[in-house]
Amino acid sequence: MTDAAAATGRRSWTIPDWMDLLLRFLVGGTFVYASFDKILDPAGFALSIAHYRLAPAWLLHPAAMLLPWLEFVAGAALILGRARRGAAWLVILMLVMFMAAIGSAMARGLDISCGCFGTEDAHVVGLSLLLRDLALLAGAAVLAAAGGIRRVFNESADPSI
Amino acid sequence: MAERTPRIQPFPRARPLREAALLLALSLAAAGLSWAVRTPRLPLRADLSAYELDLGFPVVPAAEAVALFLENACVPVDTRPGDQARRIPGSFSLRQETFDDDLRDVFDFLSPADPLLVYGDGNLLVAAAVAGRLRERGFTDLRLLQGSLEAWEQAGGEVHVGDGEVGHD
Repeated sequence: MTDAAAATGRRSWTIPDWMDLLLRFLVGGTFVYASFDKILDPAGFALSIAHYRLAPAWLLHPAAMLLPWLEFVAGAALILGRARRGAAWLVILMLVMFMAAIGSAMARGLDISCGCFGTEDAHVVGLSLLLRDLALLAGAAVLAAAGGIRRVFNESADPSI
Repeated sequence: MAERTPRIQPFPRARPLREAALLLALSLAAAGLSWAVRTPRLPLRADLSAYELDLGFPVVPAAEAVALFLENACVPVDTRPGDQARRIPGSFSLRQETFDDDLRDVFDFLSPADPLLVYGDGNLLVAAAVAGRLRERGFTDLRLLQGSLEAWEQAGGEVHVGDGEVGHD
């Protein structure tokens, strides 16, 4: 536990700046890249989602319109380093959802392309996709967990001075 | 003069939640705006029947396909791109990208009445696309193999390991 964590009684840990930057660009960049084609072709992305046979009719189109933007916004936030912990948690949420969908498709023997990087993505759902998402999940988890506390320097402990 | 002293400030627990909510709101706004300005607009409620995965050809499980093959009741057609060293014995290579050239190479060996078993790397959409082009050329008995060569092998199907030349063995 760090001095800061000891002072606040909260467990925390930090990562080197280079690792933080690398993870933010890897995870954020992947999400931003993955969003482009889907933002441009929401109907095609809706078809990709429909092939999983999981989304009900009322959810299919709203999800096809919202998910790509959520990928883009969360990915851009990670790259820019703004709201990075919130963005990391959103990425984790999305990845868990994607992995559940891929796992479900595999369990049901569905022979479909994943649609991960757009409507022309012919990558068939399978173990390699799960492993790729797992790697991204690990990166996002590190970003979400690291920096639980931060050090700030004030002119005085008393803000009134 | 006030002394510059480091002070430990705990990271607010609610901050990531607030950040996530803000990003979600931003995404919602962008998605809403994108939906509003784009024409034709995607209906908010989908008609699921429009999304049925209609391949237009019967899909044969690997075990059933192996049985057909052993009875000489099907001719395999490989749709995987590139030269494949491992394939179902006796398969013709008809790839989506070079379909016309490939068909010209093997046309003398195929008859429109032949029962064709079209297979690929597991993506049925590619196999269905090739089968569709075969149908346009007059082939009538077309089936798709469910799964890839791995599924074929797992079902006990024989696999030819060769030099990957296009055409019949």
